[in-house]
Amino acid sequence: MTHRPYARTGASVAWRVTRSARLDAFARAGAIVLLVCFSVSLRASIARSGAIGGVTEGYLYGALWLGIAAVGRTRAGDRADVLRGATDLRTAIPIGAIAGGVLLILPLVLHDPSPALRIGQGTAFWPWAAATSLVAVAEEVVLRGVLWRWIAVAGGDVAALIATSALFALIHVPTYGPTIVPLDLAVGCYLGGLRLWFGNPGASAVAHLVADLGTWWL
Amino acid sequence: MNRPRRLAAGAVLLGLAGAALAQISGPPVARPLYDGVVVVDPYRWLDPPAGLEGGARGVRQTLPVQGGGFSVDTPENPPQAQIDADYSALSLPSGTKTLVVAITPVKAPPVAPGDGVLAGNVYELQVANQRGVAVPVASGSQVTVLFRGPSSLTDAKIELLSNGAWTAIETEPAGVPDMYTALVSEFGEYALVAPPGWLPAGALATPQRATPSPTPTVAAVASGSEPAAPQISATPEPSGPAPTPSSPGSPGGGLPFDRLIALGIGAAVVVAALIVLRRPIRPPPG
Repeated sequence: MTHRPYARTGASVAWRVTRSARLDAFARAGAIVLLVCFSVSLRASIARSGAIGGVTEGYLYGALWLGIAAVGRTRAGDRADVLRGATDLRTAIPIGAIAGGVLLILPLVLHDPSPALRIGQGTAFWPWAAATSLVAVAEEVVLRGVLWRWIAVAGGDVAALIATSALFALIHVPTYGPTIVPLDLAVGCYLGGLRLWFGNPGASAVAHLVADLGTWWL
Repeated sequence: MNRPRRLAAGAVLLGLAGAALAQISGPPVARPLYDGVVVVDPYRWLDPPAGLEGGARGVRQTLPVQGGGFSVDTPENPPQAQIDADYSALSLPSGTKTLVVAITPVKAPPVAPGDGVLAGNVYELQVANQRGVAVPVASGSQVTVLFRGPSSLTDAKIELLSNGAWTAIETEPAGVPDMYTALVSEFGEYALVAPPGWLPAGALATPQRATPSPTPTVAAVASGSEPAAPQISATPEPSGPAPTPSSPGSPGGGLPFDRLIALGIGAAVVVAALIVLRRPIRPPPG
């Protein structure tokens, strides 16, 4: 018997999801959120203990998130994305790079003169860049990849946009404090818009990567 | 443009506008996104409590008066003390070609803040010109200072030691935990002050109250004399019991009961989530 949790309603791109598939997707999204909260708590505990340095902590955190992506992966939303006409990565990547550049320009234009804050320069560039890239991509694969898809199946794209943006802001509070919530909420919305436009997390992952790596020079 | 594309375009524009607004009104430290891998050095004390690290360092830079301003910070990552100033905010004596900017950790004065406890080192901020003449902040102007405190400093104010008393300055979190910033209208001795009862994470005892030491003068800074050398004293105060270590990495051994409970809850959450995620997708009814 073929599993058909999604059914086309006609020749158009319209599609519908059965009630059982919605409930199932809701439970899976909740499970992913729990795993995300667990990994963020673990990271905060490790950072507070000082047991592991920043870069090693980044590798560990990124690997945890890739693990979440692996257990939470789904093809359930693929069909929805395909029906909407998802764009391939060759288009998403350059647009994502430009979108990340826009995020880098914003503080330079709006925040000048601003105090400098060295974040990563206590270590060599390449290990830091590798850890930063791993974390940025892993966060996108989980938040705007698997989690987005399950929430979109359960509650639609608007719910996915709101939930992933809020979670994106909240997961950074232990590291940066509550004052960062407005900025990360807004950037989460921005990245969510890219994900929605292209139908996959490719553009948002590249934008996130560019914005994070750019902090080395800010 | 179909509905998802319209929603996507709206989200991008809304996010961009929100990010711009947050940059204007948010933490004073510019970041494109509060994210990524943060490498934080342990806090370096001038007079470390037992169990914590000493070796606080100052900085002294000679800067030509060029461009709009300067930023000078201590060598830790992120810096433990930092000054950012526009030249227009300084009252430059005539003939000033270079500035000597110094940030020096100094011994804590005998006078304690009235509204809390010193959280970290006292830093003396000094600016002089090439002739050793002190350069004050211009009347009606302000410069930015940032101070990072020890780990676990969730609430603190920047205070100025003025006329033998600590005065609180309007302080904002700088966007990174344990780091605070303020606009100040004079240079001098500054420190972070935490609420009463605060103790640094990992400390085995409160820091010994330092005896006052001669304060380096601006002229001494300009003439090139060395900043105060760190003097480390790990002797705990004789009175009162040692507080319980509050960081997981601190000595003391064993996992406390509450941490075991937290680990158990975490493990249960992970197992429950994995069970949900590994279920096969149910076919639709009918």
